[in-house]
Amino acid sequence: MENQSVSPTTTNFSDPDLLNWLEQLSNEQLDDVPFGVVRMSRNGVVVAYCKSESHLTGIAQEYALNKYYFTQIAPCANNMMVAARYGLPDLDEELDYILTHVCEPVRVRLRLLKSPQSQYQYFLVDRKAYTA
Amino acid sequence: MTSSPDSSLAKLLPLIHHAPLAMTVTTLTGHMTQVNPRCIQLVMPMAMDKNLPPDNLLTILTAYLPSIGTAIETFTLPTGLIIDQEPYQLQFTSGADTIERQFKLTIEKNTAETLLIFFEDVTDFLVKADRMR
Repeated sequence: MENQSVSPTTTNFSDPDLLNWLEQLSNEQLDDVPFGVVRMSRNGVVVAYCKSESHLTGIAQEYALNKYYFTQIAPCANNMMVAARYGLPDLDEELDYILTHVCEPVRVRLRLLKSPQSQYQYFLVDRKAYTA
Repeated sequence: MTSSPDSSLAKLLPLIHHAPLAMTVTTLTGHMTQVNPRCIQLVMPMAMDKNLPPDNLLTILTAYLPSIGTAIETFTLPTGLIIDQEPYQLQFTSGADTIERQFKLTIEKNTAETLLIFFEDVTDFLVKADRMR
């Protein structure tokens, strides 16, 4: 059940309670979050691919939905630094990384989130850390 | 019938995005200006292991294999192949694990200012080929 009282535009990328907060948002509300959000099922299938993530990577939302994220959408993150970390039952890590927009490298800050209680797992992208 | 550059690029993108070969265009000093996802996938753990800037491929490769830097520095022709499908072995760490991988590397100077770099992790291929013998 989505929480109508949450304000997606004011949340902080490093907020310690971010996972619980994201879990309350609908797929549509994720479009208003001020950083990129990929919501995945716990086996890595894309459930929501927010607009800012789509703008960052050049991959259309419709194309990304229902695909395996790390093998079909973001193979650049399919390694031990990122994709393999989702094998942990509890995950909350931030790291610097590079994504690609078409073929242009884009430096970003990532946050990887899941917990044993969360319905979904999340791949969060903050580009502002490098463009400010 | 002609197609716009945008639609041609859109048709090409799946090939670039899913190619098992790492491909990048760099400046002569190694700064990556165009890159495919496979390249990022392979390079990031190597950069992290040595705490190097992740967007300069030559800095990363040379930290593991100084002979690559030497080959580029001593190449005097305006264009041409600098390294042609040479095999290399790299070791890096991930947590407590030491990882050893086999790579095949090609570096071509295609203009006075740019390098094309292609590399492939052939470790799994070699293991499979060994099983066939």
